[in-house]
Amino acid sequence: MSNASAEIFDRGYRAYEGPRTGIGTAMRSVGVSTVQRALGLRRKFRFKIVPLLTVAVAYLPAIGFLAVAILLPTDLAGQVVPEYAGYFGLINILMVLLAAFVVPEVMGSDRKTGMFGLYLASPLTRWHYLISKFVAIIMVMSLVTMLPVIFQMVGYSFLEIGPDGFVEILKTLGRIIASGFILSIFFGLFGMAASTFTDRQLFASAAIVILIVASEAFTSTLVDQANAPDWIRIFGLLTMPANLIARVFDETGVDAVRIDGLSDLGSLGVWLGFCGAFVGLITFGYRRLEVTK
Amino acid sequence: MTNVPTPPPIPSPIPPPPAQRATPTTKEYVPQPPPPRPSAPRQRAENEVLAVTNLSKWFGDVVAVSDISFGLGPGVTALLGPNGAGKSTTLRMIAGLEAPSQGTVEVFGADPRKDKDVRGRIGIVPQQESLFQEQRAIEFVALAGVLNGLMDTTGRAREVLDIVELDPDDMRPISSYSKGMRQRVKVAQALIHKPELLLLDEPLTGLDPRQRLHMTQLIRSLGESGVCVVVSSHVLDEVERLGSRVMVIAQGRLAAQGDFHEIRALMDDRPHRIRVRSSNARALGGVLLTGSGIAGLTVVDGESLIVDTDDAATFRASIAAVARAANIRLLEVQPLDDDLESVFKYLVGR
Repeated sequence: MSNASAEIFDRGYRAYEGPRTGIGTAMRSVGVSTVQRALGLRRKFRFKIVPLLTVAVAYLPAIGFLAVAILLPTDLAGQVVPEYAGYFGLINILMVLLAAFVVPEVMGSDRKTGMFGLYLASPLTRWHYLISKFVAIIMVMSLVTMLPVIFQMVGYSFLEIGPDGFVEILKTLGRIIASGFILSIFFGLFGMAASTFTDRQLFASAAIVILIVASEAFTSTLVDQANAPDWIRIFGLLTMPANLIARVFDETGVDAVRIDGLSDLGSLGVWLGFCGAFVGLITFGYRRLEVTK
Repeated sequence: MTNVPTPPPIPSPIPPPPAQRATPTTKEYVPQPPPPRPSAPRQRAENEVLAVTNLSKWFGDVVAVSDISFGLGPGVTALLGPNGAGKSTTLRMIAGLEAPSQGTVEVFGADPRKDKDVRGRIGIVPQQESLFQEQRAIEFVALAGVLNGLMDTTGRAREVLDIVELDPDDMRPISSYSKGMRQRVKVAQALIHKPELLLLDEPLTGLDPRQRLHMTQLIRSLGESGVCVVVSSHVLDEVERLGSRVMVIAQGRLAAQGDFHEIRALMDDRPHRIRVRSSNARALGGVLLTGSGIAGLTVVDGESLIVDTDDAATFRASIAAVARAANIRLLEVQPLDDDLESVFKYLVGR
């Protein structure tokens, strides 16, 4: 028998059976937290120094080049100011800073504080978590790898020393974006791989810097002093991605970082091989990772 | 959330496995290794939320959890054990955070490590801080809602912060909170998606007495509302207030499970200790020693004596008549080792 005047306002505790937004929202949330942490947002000033200084330094050359281009006559400016591939040489160095000091911070802190366990206690899997982290890291690195060079290209175009015509602009933009991804993905994965095996930021940072410096010193010594074949330089962690970028921009000058005896496709293959190895290390580490917090 | 009258918590349908029952020893009760498990699968109840079967976990040479099996339905169950007994590891495996080295965990019939929908029905309060220190409480709790796919995360975050008696409008970062406040934030994030299985690892740590009482009431009400709540705690008197259903883990093994009064009753190898106050303790002691079932007797003073008996029920039923026959006035009969602390102490062999 029904009673039209009866109403129930609260049935007490009921398990949530409403709609769920799905994994995508959760991954975006992890990504946003990662970007905030990487840039030191909403944290004390000391946490902002490295990321913001790195981003600022990345833009300084572009501003300087544009200032020079403005001051000089157009014909002269076109010969004096560097091209885009040269800019990536500086960015390559800055990526070491981001890989060594920012990536370990965003990877290790979740494990150190126990947030990693809380993430995995939700519908997120560790692979969803890693993909979110990776995308966030690439986004932060793109602030350094892509935007300054795009800014440079836009400035050059306004000063009429940039790419000539819409198609050329698109081609140059494509090369810049491709080069930006080459660096971001390489150093992002490298930093993540190094951070997989320790929660201690200092250890991961030291390992990254030592590996980069040692790989460059070792390969240069072999090639320059021991007359080893030039392809040995693919094991230099700065030279290898720089070689691929030189090929993206089709740079063949004296200053171009090109590894002799390696084709364009071979360069891409080596880069993919390194990235695959880093992914393998990350997968191996996180598959074995015990959540003890 | 309101405390609307609901059906009483459903006791676990799973009887304690014979292997975990008390084993006679000479002096101290020490849990014995269980005999080999029967090959037949454990009977499961219809309303079983959580089923753990032959669960083991080892880290290198260290065995953290060894071959434990149990099933739980709705209601509150306390997980007890000394430090390093394997409680937290067990909870993490139930939450799907760690893979068992051996055995299975099923929550609502699915493996929580593989089924993300099932993980969305679990709430966990880890023992460690596990907090974004720079966030505000409402942001952190809302984040947990987002991770679990809720729509109105901020509104729900406000609700659960109210439930744990925290101010949702508090602008301070979590890092400035006291330990008790941080503990309540963790509980709030576990409740935001209205889980059906709630795992609480030392939830009472850091809370002041009033907050402990409030948290205890909250946990009880959740259990009474049909949530399967597993609480690990060292604070035995607080656990006693949560209910009488316990699981005791010692050295990675399940030493006992069920109502702790019943567990105590099963420990027939250990005499029950009862204090009897009367008008003449010495005379009463003499009378009692002439009877049977008395394992030991100590006269404390003119009024009090402590009796060790193998049959507490018979003793309690007969003591009044014995005293009356001896013309002794009986003042008080009080069991001394029928509480959770005594049961726990016997089981973990300390």
